Amino acid sequence: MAKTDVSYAQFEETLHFLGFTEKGSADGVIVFRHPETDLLVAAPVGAAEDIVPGMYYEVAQRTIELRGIATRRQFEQALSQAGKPSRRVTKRPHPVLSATP
Amino acid sequence: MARRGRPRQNALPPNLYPRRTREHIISHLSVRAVQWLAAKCGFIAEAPEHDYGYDLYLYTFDAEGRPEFGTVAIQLKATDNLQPYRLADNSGMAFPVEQRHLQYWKDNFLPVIFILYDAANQAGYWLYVQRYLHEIDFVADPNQAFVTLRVPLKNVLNEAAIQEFRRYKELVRGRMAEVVHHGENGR
Repeated sequence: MAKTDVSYAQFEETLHFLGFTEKGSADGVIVFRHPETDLLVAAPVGAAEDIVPGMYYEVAQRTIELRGIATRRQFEQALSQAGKPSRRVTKRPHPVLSATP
Repeated sequence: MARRGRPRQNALPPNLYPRRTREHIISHLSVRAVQWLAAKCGFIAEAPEHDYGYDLYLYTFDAEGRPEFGTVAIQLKATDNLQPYRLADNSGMAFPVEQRHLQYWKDNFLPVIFILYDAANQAGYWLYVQRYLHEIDFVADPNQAFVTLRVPLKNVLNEAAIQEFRRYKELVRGRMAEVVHHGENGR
């Protein structure tokens, strides 16, 4: 798969869409929490238009997949819709999928 | 259009075809050694999808099998001969690492573990990089290309070590939970 550059704005919108509704930042780190599963996702702080460092993006996506919040495909679909006025994906994935490692 | 039929003859002289070197083999062995130990602990050690300067990401799971926060980034170096790296007092190994890599690892807020793998003896030795850099008070020096990491001989790579890596990550998770607890504006 090709390497994707993801902005912080896209990343945050995607996480929010997937149910990461709590957010905090301190000491150069931004953290999102998924209340239903208590999963945390973190990345270095960046401006909305900055690119999320690839490692943190990859780890976030994989952790979300392992936790059963969204498959890679669902994550990437949500990401591709981020920033667009109307989402093609209107329904958030079920919080706990049967697909676990 | 795709070429059909037999492969093209003499595309490369035989001596230029790719070969599997001993370096490839011991590198593979080191990856498998970590993955085996991780699996024994119920965890996963995966190669990153893209090259961000690490060889493996360790994903851990809690007692109920639920995936936990983040990852442990692992950098592996494999050798067939540990002897040239041994410290004179036999307390460990000294391994030179490019300073730019160290700075990158230092800036990572997730734990970075350096593993020196002795393929001849199927043994590994590890170092928690950020803690080590903190202990030696590491400051990047523009005039220095390499920095020597001292990997203690007592830091044997085994299941207990993998659990220790998890503990380092969970300490980071605790700090992250504090950050999100304090909300949008942080502390």
